[in-house]
Amino acid sequence: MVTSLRRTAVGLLLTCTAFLITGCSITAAGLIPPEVPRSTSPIDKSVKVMPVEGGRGSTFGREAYITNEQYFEALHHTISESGVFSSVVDSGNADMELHSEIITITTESGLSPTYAIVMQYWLVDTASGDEVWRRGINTRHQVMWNDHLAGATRIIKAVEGATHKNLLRLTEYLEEAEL
Amino acid sequence: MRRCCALAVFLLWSSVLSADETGSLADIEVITVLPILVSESLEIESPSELHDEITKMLLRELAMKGYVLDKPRNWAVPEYWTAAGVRERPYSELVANLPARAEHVALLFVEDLKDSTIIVASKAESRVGAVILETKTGSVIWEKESEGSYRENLNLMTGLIHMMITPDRYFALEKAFKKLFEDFPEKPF
Repeated sequence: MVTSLRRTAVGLLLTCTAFLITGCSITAAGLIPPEVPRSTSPIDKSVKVMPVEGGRGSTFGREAYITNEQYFEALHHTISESGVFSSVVDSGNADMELHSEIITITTESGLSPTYAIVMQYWLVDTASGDEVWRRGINTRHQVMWNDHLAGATRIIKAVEGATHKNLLRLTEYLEEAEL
Repeated sequence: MRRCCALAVFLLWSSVLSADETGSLADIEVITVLPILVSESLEIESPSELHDEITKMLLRELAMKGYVLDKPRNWAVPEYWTAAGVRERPYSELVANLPARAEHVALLFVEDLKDSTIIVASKAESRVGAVILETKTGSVIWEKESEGSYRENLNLMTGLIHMMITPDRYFALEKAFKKLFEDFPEKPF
């Protein structure tokens, strides 16, 4: 009976661990803001979202990070949904190219982690090759200890939250830019 | 009654003044960090490597406080760009040579750096300073000096070997700059 109980406990522990590991990783889908407000005064130019720079995968023992591909997918979706440009071009030429670089993703760890993400975004006029606009954006998000049971989930939600804010802030700044 | 009114007016005026003084720093979003300025009397093996280490640390520290640290773009370092060269010029004169697109710049100074090794311990001590300028006017938004030290106690058996190794001077500088910006105001979320 003791052996059977021990086996059950070990099995339960392994199942929970597997669940925690597989259920706890940053995904591109999670980085996409749940709601993207539609622009009220779009820029009358087409844009091509360029590959993101500066990202990398998360590694065990270090703070969570975002890959270039994950951020690109979230950025592309946000720019498309916002309608801040008249159109988003995926292949061929566009009036503008939107470049971006992940400068840093950093954290104050703890039971209620806060993550900060600093991005640089810049627009290049494809006709002239000139950089016509640039903005550095810092956003932070904290997830409280009682929002999620698993610490790993809280970390992921903090990264996602900071990213959502950064992408939405970008659309606001683009709308204000005189382009 | 009149005294109470006068006191209330004074307190209100003081709070308005205080809000204005801290408001200008709190309004800053992006700070462009210019190449580190080392005192001429110091020997730094690789100032650019030191600059990279310090700015990497500050990037993370100030990111948690809500700031963006940027690097100068399309900017040529002026010929006089040394600690003495910058200090002997009024900030209003520096403005003409600062990066055009930067709204606020940070000048980082390494004023002093000493290291010493005795049989069982090595240490490095540093004194650093920083100034944040508004590039439009050359106004000083924030300035501070700080000291930092790094000490390593050595194993008696390996003390002789360790005497030949310089303590981590860069780490002492990193600690000093980190301490410098410790009470830099945090922006609201």
